[in-house]
Amino acid sequence: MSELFTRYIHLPPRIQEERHVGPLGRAGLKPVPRIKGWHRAFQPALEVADAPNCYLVRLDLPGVRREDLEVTVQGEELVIQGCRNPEPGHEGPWRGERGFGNFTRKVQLPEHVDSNRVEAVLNSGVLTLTVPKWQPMTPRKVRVGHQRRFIHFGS
Amino acid sequence: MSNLLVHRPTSLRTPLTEGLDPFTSMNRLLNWDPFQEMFGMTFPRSLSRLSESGMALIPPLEAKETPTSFVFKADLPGIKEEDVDVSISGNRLSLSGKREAETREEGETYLTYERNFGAFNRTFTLPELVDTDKVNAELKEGVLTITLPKVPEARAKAIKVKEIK
Repeated sequence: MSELFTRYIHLPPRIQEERHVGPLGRAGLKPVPRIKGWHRAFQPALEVADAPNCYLVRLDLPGVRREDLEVTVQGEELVIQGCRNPEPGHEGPWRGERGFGNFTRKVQLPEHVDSNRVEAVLNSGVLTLTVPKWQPMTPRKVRVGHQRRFIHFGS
Repeated sequence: MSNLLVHRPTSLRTPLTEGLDPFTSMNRLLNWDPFQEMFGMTFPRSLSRLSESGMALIPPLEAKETPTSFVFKADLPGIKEEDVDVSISGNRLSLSGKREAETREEGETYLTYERNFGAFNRTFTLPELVDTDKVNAELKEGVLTITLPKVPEARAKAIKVKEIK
């Protein structure tokens, strides 16, 4: 039985992860069977925040280069797609849980956004997209003046 | 706001679709713990489930062993270098740190969140001693790479076989 478990351990065979047994059970990631030429798919985590003036869309894209990333607005959809390639010099007997490959995430935009002014910043593996909302018309006070009376007294 | 729709990947949807992914099914089978079943423990089996559900941060990690060194890589997006702590004692490598969420502004509400924040700690036992003075750790574009050269005595050395006539 133990052989079955160790065969599929996710790290190189001689490196062991210390698994803490606590109230939550065994810590650490589940072992992933490693098939040659296969790796986990990369699925970036996404977050959408609703700020007063804009929507903030954040994605975790560690190790994704700017040139491998494409952000488009297709109709009412914000599409973030790209490819996560292993770093140069990644050859060798790597084993682990990191995923690579193509990814696509889509966010349906509400109607009241200005999709022409979407800003994207990639910083230390986090992509932040700022989707500005249409500035609501602030109620403007219209002064009501006194109309001058022109009273013409006849004849 | 309710018309803002996020397309979720299959892995984050209901467990109903879980069976379609051979890797997930395989994982579940390999992680089956008979004792857990017998004693009816209802704790989550491993933290990875917590991580997937957005409750705990476990950075995905990768390792390799070469004849001269051990190399570790971890995905740490949005983590500042001062928040990562790499320490070695003997043959134990400990990687810990914390990831803080971006500052939340007044009037900001979250519509969807899959990103995990908090503290993490992963410890590994290496089969050999490493040269602690030459350990190199660098963080680039959210990927941490730790290179641990083996001590010269532990390196694999080819021994020439002499033929005695």
